[in-house]
Amino acid sequence: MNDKPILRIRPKIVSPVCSSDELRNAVEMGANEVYCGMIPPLVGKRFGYDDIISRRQGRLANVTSMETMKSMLLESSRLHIPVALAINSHLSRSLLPHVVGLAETWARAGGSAVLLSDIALLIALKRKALPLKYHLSIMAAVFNTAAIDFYAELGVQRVVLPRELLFPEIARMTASHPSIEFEALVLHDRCPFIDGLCGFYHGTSFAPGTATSEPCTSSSRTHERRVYSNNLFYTGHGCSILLNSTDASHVQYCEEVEHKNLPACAACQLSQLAEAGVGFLKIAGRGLRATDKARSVSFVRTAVDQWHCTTDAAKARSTIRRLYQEAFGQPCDDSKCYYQAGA
Amino acid sequence: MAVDTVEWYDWSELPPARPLRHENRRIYVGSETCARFLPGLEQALDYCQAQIDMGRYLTVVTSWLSDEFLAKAIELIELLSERHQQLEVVCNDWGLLHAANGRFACELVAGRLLAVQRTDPRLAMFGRVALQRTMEKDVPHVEGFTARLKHCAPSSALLAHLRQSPLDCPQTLNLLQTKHVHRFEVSNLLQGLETSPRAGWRVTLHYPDVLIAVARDCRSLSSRKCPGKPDSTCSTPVAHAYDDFPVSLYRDANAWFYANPNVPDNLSEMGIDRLVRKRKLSSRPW
Repeated sequence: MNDKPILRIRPKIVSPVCSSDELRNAVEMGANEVYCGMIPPLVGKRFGYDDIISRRQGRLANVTSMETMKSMLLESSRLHIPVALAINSHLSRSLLPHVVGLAETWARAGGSAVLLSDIALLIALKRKALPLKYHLSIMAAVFNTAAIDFYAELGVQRVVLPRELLFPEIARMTASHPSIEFEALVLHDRCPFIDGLCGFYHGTSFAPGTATSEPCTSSSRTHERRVYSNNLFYTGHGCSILLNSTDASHVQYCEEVEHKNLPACAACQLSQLAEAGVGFLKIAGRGLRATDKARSVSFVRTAVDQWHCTTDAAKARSTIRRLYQEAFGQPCDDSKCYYQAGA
Repeated sequence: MAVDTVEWYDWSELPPARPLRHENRRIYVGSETCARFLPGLEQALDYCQAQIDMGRYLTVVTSWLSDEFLAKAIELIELLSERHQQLEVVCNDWGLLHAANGRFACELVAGRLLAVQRTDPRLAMFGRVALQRTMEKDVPHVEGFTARLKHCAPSSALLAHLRQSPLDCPQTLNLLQTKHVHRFEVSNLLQGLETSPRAGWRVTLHYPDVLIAVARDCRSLSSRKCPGKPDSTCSTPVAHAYDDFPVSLYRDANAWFYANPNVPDNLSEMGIDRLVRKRKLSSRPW
């Protein structure tokens, strides 16, 4: 009888954070690495705070001051936790110089990696020989081994894989690139579109009941509070707007899948991901509240522990489904699983 | 600069035989969003030969590709490039561009999926200041307070950023040149388009259809199961209208689009020497 655990090596957990407090909480809950976004004030003033340097919108999902960035990096140094800065939007020649400057500041302050997808940025940063690792964001939409060859030649050391890949496809990619680290999303992000092939704008919605109707873009805490937006008609990401579709088959899909407000998840598939060569498990949700981020890390850590201590896959999945309900308040649903067969 | 107008067909759709004019000699064929539309080799050869016989040049459009379909695409390019002297291949996957570079006698083009423009039509509403101000209102804010939601007019830097393609940066264009690529493709953005033409570069403008977003397959966008191989219902565009959007959107197979029929009048200034339009969408009902 084989009494070895299904998951022999624990993959590392990568958590989103927006402050040193969140970083500390994430590590306490079991994160091995963290990542954050940042919009420097000067960039925010010139280009706005939405969908500019990364796809996560507004101040809520980003560090917006140098002081916060520095205190976070001091904490990460104390705890020996690598921090990646997400600069994963596709840029433009107008924005690129500002973002290169941000990455230089990040490297000087002790940041360990940049998560990116823009080729011009990658080339520009490599030329500067900054002491940074380069992680290729899910926004690069890498679907084949030749694309990994391409980015590896440009200096990428880790690849975050698209959610739409199948396990055999992942295994082929990892096996052919032993010197590259592979990371995969395991919680929260669930857009029907391929992340790197979506041109919908990610703005800030102020519609009642949306996540961002809470504090996010306060320009002043004094006498008269004002909140600014480039588009006051904006009511949500393209993928959520499309839920109002007149296409009957799309409506049916939405009713079946999208209206269930549950985190998408790969906790039941961690052993398959690890077996396919994925060493890092990414939790999405930079814009979530601090308590939700901590709960997410705790859930994924417990799921990893389940796979690490059992020889019974069915039992692990059953336990993880119970843990999911405890963590997120509702039973999980197969429609929310990552890495499903496409057809 | 002369501007060619080129029509784009599916592999299942043969272009009509018609008198040749210089600007009509090239046709596009293929799908940029779904690799399942890649034809079998025999079908592709027949198609290619029919076009050669009519004196036409062929541009084969490919999509993003898993390893399985990357191998098929390479095989297809190898075969067609041996038969057709003027073959162009539009690459919408960096892996294909990397793998095909220098291997075949054809011209590689960087397609719209590599150009990753910001294609949400709502971006065109940023600068409509008078209209935006009609929407200013009080909104719930922190600690039970309300705040005044106000329009922030976009800076000229932001507007320029929204009109530019990430591909159109010197670093990326230089890299493409080392891979013998000298043409890239863009969509006709509703918020306006900015390219910075450089010597030796040519730009293709797709119009009126602007590609917004792509899913892995139709299943991600509807309850319809993917048939594995394309069928007649696969690519029947469906129109949608939303209050939040200044134009109608439509879904075609696994992707969303909108249409902007207003072609910019400074094509030459932007280095655009070719306009491409999908033939099957030219008679859209909306």
